[in-house]
Amino acid sequence: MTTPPSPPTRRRLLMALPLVGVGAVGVGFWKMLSGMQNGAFNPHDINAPVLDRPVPDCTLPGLPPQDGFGTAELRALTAPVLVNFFASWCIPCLAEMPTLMTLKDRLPLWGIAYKDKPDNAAGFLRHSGNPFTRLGQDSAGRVGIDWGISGVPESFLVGPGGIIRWHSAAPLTEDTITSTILPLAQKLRTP
Amino acid sequence: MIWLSIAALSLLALAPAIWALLRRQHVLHDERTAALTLHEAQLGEVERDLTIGLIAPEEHAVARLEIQRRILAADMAPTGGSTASSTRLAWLGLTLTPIAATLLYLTNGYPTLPAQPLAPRLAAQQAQAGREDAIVAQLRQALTTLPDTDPNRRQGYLLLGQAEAARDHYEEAAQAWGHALALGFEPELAARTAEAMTRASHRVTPEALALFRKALDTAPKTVPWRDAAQARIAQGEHDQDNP
Repeated sequence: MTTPPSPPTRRRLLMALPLVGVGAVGVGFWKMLSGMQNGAFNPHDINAPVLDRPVPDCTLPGLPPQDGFGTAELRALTAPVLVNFFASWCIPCLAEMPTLMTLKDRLPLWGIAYKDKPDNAAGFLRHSGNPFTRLGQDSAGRVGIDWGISGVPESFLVGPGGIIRWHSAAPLTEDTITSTILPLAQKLRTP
Repeated sequence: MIWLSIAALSLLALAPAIWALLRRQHVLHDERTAALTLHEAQLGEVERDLTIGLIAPEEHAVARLEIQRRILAADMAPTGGSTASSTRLAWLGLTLTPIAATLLYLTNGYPTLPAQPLAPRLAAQQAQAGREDAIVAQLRQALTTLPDTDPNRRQGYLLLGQAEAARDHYEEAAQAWGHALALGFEPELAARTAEAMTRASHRVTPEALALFRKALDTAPKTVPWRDAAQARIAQGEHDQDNP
């Protein structure tokens, strides 16, 4: 037995509606901002279905003098490796290179030259320095599709057993490296 | 002359306010006069209704008494002295606005500054460009007469390229620096030449790309223009693959 609300009550409800809406939006923004503060939410994040799964099947020819790699090498890993898609025609990759050069002594880096001519990639690494211990070529961009990249530069942290543990679609910064990648890599080394 | 137009524009902008104020003086209205006028008219109506027999004399008496009572009450209302003063205030405001604007301008403006028409300035620029053209042509002419073995030739072409680049004539700059490069290669000069080529054709041409690569290959690791040259190479490769 409910009586319909009297007009003043209904009016009060209607008056309260915008306030409630604004309040809900405010709470949403507050959650987003606090998530951005503690790293739980990143607006630049791109959904990567490969996360926490084994690496997709691929075989990458090497860029002489360096060896290429494939699924077999990645699955045989016992320590984490950072796989970095890059291209010589990509300006953010140029900007990222100095950061990668400082990272190469702290974590093995494997590079994949995405849709790049071998000469161009070689010239790029000759000019910028080469931080990669292994270097594969993905001239056609098929491997990039399998890994689900949205562009270059893009980085994947591959843990022991070839499981992709972390992914970023943005150029790496010193901040990301010290606060996220290195601690995670340390955790993966000590199972 | 410009002051006259500014004054006319100000007058035009203030015109609606002035017009409203002028009209307001003809219809002076305050609460008391309005109420009294209304009640006078009501009295007249009641009298008329009595004469044409619409109301009985008793009703007429009651109505008249009521209206008279209201007239007495309305007479207590404040008189219209405030209207006149507010009108005065409005006129004062209207007068002060342009004066205040002028004062505000004077705090930061230069009324004594002469006019700056565009045509003479353009003519002066043209004349300057013409003089520079003459000097550069003279330099170019002098360079063609120098023998190939003259050590000053390369220096002259460097200078010519600089002069052309400073005037945003990138095509001519690239040509001059190209001559200098042919007389003696130098990484930074190669990068400058490639950049001039790029700016002349608004894209990284294959020749410019090759020149940028050659410059980076021969330059020491620490040159400050390394990143800029690499960015140009990346741009060139990207344009080559996606024409």
